[in-house]
Amino acid sequence: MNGLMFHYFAQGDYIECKSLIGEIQSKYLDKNETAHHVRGLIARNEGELEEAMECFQKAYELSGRNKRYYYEIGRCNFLLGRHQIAVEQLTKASEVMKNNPKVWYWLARAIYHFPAEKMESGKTFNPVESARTVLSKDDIARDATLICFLGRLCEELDDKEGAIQAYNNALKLQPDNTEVMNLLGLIYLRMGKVQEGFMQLGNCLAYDPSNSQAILTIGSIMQNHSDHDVALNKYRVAADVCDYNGCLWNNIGIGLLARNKAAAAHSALKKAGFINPLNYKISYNLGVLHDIMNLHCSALHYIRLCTELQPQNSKAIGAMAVILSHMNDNRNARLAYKKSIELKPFPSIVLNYAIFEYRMKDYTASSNAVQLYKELHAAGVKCSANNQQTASLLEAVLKQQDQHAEQ
Amino acid sequence: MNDDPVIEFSGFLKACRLFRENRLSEAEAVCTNLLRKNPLDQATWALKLQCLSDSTYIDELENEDMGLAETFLDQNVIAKSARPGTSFARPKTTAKGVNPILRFIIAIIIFSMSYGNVYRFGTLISTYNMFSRPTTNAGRPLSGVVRPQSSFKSGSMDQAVRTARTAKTARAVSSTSARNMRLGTASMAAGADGEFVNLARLNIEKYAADPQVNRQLFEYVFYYVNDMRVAHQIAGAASKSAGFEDYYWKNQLAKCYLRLGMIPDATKQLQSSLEQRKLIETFAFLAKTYNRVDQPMAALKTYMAGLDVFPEDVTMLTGMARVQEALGEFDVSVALYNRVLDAQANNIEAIACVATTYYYGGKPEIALRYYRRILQMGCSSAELFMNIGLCCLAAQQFDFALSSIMRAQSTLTDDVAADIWFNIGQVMLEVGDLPAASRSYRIALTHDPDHSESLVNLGILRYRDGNIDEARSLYAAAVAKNPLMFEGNYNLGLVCFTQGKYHDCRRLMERALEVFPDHEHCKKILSSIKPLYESI
Repeated sequence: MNGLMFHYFAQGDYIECKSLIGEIQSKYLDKNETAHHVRGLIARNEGELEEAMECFQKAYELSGRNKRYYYEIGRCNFLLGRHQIAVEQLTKASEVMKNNPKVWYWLARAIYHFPAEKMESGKTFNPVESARTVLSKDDIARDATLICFLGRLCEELDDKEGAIQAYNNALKLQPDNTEVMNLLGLIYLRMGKVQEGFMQLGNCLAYDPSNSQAILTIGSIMQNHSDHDVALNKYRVAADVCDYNGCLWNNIGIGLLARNKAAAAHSALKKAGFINPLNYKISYNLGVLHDIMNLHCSALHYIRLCTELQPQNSKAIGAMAVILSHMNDNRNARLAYKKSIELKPFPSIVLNYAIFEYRMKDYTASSNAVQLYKELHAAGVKCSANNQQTASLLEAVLKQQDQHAEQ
Repeated sequence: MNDDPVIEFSGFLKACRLFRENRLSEAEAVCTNLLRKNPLDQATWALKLQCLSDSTYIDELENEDMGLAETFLDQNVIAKSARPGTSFARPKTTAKGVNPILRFIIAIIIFSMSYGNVYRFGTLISTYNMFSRPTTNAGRPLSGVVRPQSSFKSGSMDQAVRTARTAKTARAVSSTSARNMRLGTASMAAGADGEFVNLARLNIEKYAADPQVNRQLFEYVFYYVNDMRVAHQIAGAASKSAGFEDYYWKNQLAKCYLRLGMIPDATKQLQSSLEQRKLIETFAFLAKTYNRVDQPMAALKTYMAGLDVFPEDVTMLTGMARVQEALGEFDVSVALYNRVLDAQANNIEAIACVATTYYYGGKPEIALRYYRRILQMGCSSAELFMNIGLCCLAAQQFDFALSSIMRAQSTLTDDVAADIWFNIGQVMLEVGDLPAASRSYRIALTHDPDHSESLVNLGILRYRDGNIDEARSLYAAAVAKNPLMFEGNYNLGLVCFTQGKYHDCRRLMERALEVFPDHEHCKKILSSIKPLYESI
């Protein structure tokens, strides 16, 4: 009968299984340990944690206090958010089930959720790090979920190499796990290894063509390489699955803008802004878009929103300066340029400032700005070829002015 | 010319003229004088009855206030578990909601106008959630107007009872009591020498059978005295004396039955009345009885039948539009409202509903034109100005938006204050002034501690500041006040997820998915939690 019970349970036929368990218990006067165990498992799968814990408790009593059941009870406590108790119970369980990687996995997960500010012998207790030590101390890396979790912990600890290794191991065990591919791809991208990242995400899409997250990432890589048409095609699939994704609509808006469809881009970005009202990037894009459409007042509004959300963003303040100069508010434009350069000088903004001062006929300030631009360029900050050209042109013009002045 | 003698009416004729000119209280005073001289003058008596009942006349069709008892202890619903789309309790969920972690919902502002002298009629707006329609507190999709019907049934009795009662939110426990009784007693005080007709001593059989006075008597008892039992008795007797052939008395009987909550009887009367004579009122009442027993499809059929007889009739079209809206069929509903506007261009309800649809459809400029039209027609209220302000804001006319919103702020009344302040908070967010936004939400909460949208948004702002525990308790409060709210459940679920409270998270996400079944992020989180339960 126990065999039949396991059979039903494995098949997921919980109704049959429960009635069978009822039979077994009435036959053995509620004394069947395994039946209690399976009943507990069913209850947990169905989300009835209290009932599950009761069943496991009974099984524990009947089994002559087999510490294995601490494993199950610990997991229930973990799900209920009682991490302290869960850790205690799982540690007890780990004494008897040393060879089972699952125990360590759950233990690590429970430790991971400890509050970080807990002090232990003077130094801050870092739950993430201790979770990682739990997982990496043995040769327990035999299970994909466990390795994934390890990868995530490594990622949070900024150990990218470790994370990549973990994810690669997980992929060896489960070659069709799209989530892992996604994560792996993202890490590669964060490390600047675009080629590898692109490959992983491509793999992921090969398994699941409608994976919205992978589509979004791949699309943004394409857009970085100005391949807007293909990216837009990809987004069409993603928008179908989940059309309330602000980042997605933001990228669509940029793609449309690149194809010179300002009105369509406007509605896409507005939608993005509605979905994610507190995302500064979207409001930045909206500001730039309105400036392109010559709606300077609206542009200023959105850029202001962006700077309110991210007061230290020098690019946004630089963009604000450009818009202000378009509105002929030269005094404030100059202030904005200065503020932006003070926060963090970007070559393009410095160059804009130089041009602005040139227009204002303040040639010394202008040539100072060009000087700053050259310094930045020499320091190795990335400058586009277009910027380079403009800079040298401006420098030449300024020199002429100088000569004029001398004459 | 001036030599012509000025004709002075006097006596009964004067009362009649005053009545025709709708100077009810003067007419009534003349009648009272006449009756003092000759208490047995039936014509004067009937005229006085008419004056009194007209002064408290309510449009029975629109009188749909249902009390708690009717709403939740209702035995009349025919199909308890109806298929989606065939019941008000299970509207089709066509709405594509929105909401990643920082979603801001947008509220509902109601604006009310008085209608006739008793009945309050509202038009709503909601703010500025474009592209998806928010739902009301009770979980219904938001409509363009606020009407008693919009509070049909939704949620549970439990929730309704738990909602903190303040003077503002209190709902009559049973509809036959509160409003109607209050009307009755108020008007009673006006008549100085006590009750005009002593119903207990009235020979009902005699007067009800008299076709000269029975209608006036009935209306007096029905509208003025509000004694449904006697009214029913009069209508029954009158119908009998007319040989059960008079559609008028059948309709009146149905009205009594409706008030008494005997809906199947009302349906029977109305159907037999329709066989005698097809009237707009009868169709509308029949549809109303179907709505009361949660049979929207039958109601729609009735309206259709009515439209066959009275093409393009506003009452029928409005009724259909309301039913479709309650079923979540917004496209159909708006098409119907557009037909209403073709037939009657100054129908405020239709204008407001169409405007709302344009607003949520991402066309604020067009919505603005509709709202302006309402304003031109002479209605002005805080909600209307707020709506105009929000439309202007969405259409990026910032200067005009601010002045409208300030206007709304200065004219707001207590019952809409929370919604107005919530919307001001949204505007502040749009402007990027986060401290002012959270201040606005807090003000909204002082006006209405149950305003769950403000609670959620305040929570989101707190979360953004890194104040996770405070955010958590705000979300929890919002969920407790409004368990059907997607945003509250979802955001609280997210916090639980990051804090490792997976069991709570699972429960909350499941509830969020009930409201918004296709939400991708919820599904993802749920599927990542599942293995935590099921792996062995």
